[in-house]
Amino acid sequence: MSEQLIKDILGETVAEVLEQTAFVFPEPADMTDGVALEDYEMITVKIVFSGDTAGFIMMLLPTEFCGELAANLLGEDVDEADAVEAGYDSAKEMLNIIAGQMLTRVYGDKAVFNLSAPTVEKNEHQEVIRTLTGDNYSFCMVDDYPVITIFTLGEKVSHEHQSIGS
Amino acid sequence: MAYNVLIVDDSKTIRAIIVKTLKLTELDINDIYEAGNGREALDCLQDKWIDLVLTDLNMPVMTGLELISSMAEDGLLKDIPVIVISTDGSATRIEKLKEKGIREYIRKPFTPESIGEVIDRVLGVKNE
Repeated sequence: MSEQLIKDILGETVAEVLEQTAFVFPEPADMTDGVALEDYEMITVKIVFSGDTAGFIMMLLPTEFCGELAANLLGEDVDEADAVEAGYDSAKEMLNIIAGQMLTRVYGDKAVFNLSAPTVEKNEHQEVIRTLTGDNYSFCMVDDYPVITIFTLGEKVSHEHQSIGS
Repeated sequence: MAYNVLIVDDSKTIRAIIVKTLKLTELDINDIYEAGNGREALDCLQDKWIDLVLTDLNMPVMTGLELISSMAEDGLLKDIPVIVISTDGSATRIEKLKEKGIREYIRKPFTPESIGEVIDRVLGVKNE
């Protein structure tokens, strides 16, 4: 499968999952459109996978958007005391679903993968953005929020010692 | 007949989403209990009458798979139906889970309709 096709599948998967689960409607965008990513406080959510192929999937999104995701997923406003945790949990869940869908769409339903628990880092996005290559990421705008999803492949690894995950 | 349901997931937010989804179905649900991992789920199962367990797989302390195995070995718990809710789309893995005794597998993302249909099928009733 070509890198361009994987990039297309990634863009479609991100859009479908955000639409179906959070009821938001992403528009494809380009990094050259002049979006000032440095103006946003963002988080980086990451899941590492291993199995038939190893790699990671990562999503960069504004902290403010996480709150909106949580409210949409829960169908109600989130208590202020729980807002940060709920926002991060929602972002992690989004990426978890995207990862599951993406791996099946690219490798088929016979492939077996183990996914790590999602991790969240704050304000590392500038460093991550500097490492982006042409074909391994999808960039979209959800209302005024930029969302970048990165899918990076590594080496094929052994099935031995696998446990059921995700 | 109203059913008691136990939701097992390490994310409080995800449990809240599943609770919300269950309330949007037409299922006749009495009480909904929550556990943050397999260990907490087993404690709940010892204390409460539970008709159905909805569980994630990847959790700290005790995973969903360990919970399923523990329930299968317990004479009082082995007949309680377990439905796994997960993002994993591997048919190979789902088949292995079914061999371990789970009744159904719901893949995320889900809708109230899809959850309702699966639970109806597992509990063997069509709710009015």
